Amino acid sequence: MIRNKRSFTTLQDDIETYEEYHWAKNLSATNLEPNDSLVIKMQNWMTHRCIDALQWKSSVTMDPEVEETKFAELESPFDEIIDRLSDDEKAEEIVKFLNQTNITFSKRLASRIQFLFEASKEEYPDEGAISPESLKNFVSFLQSAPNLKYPDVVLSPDKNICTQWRTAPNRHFSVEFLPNGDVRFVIFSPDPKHPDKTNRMSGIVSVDFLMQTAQPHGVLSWCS
Amino acid sequence: MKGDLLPDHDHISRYCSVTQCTEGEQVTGRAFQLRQIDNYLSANWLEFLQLYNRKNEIEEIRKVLSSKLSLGAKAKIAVLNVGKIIDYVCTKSPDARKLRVSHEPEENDPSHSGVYGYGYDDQLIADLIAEAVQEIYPAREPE
Repeated sequence: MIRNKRSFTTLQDDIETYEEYHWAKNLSATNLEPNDSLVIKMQNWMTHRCIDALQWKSSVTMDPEVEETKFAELESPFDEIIDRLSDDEKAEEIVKFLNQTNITFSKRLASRIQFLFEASKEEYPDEGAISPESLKNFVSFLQSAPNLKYPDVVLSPDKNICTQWRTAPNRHFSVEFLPNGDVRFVIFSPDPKHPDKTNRMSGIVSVDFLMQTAQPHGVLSWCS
Repeated sequence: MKGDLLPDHDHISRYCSVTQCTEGEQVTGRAFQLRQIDNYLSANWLEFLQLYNRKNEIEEIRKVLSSKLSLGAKAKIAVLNVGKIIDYVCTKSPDARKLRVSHEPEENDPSHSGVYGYGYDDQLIADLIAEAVQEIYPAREPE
């Protein structure tokens, strides 16, 4: 549902959307179901709205028209809820969202990120466990690159998500997903003209341009 | 003395969080990456302890680390040779990077040392240091 600027200055759209999807349609069924079913539906609805809003805040480049629409949605009252979430809560919401994506290894990945979250909390209980912006950029990247194999996933000292595809010392591709939508990458790959030699390079690009940058160096031969 | 360079044949250890190790328990370059606020990579000079065998050195390092950090249940301690890190990084890095390892003693950590010569954004250097790891031990004593 695309809203115009006037409508989202009130709560009307959100109230209508909510009623349309959960109250009006399910009210009769609610009497037959346990109360917690409705609560779960409300939570799911909220989760989707939260994740949507998080995505709209992504610094990843979008079509300007789409971006404008998304930006308009940022002004919904749910932004206030997003703003109230701590970084840890945001990261947990993204992990929940991950389970619902079409990423082929989404469950394994969600489990790994949950493990990293808990381990990070164990070692540094007073700090945010994982950068939610970095995690969000990582998930967006995987959705846009569905052919990649399951990577090693670790955290940087600054709690950013880092991935590594490494099958040999000269087949190494590591990436750090920065909160601002950029990535730092390192590639160790065989020199095409001298296969006994290893090319080593690194750089920073936007997450959108990562695979275009890495592909000429043959990374897909061991990452996909 | 503070600032003294460590001899090439000596060794340093580095605490590696489990969040920087793979599911297969391999230490990645992220364990050697600096935070934005760091000027150098913290490590410990093993020979400075004068315990003359690795088992005793690692036990002492565990004690020191546990007084400063909350050691993760599956965290690791990586051991590296000073000369090997310097040579390996210089030989393999595109800009022939010259690292140096110096003694940076602290009041409650007299063997504390630092690896200098790279920044938080030098991911490639961190990945090369990870390739130079010689030994890995559990950060907590096995039960």
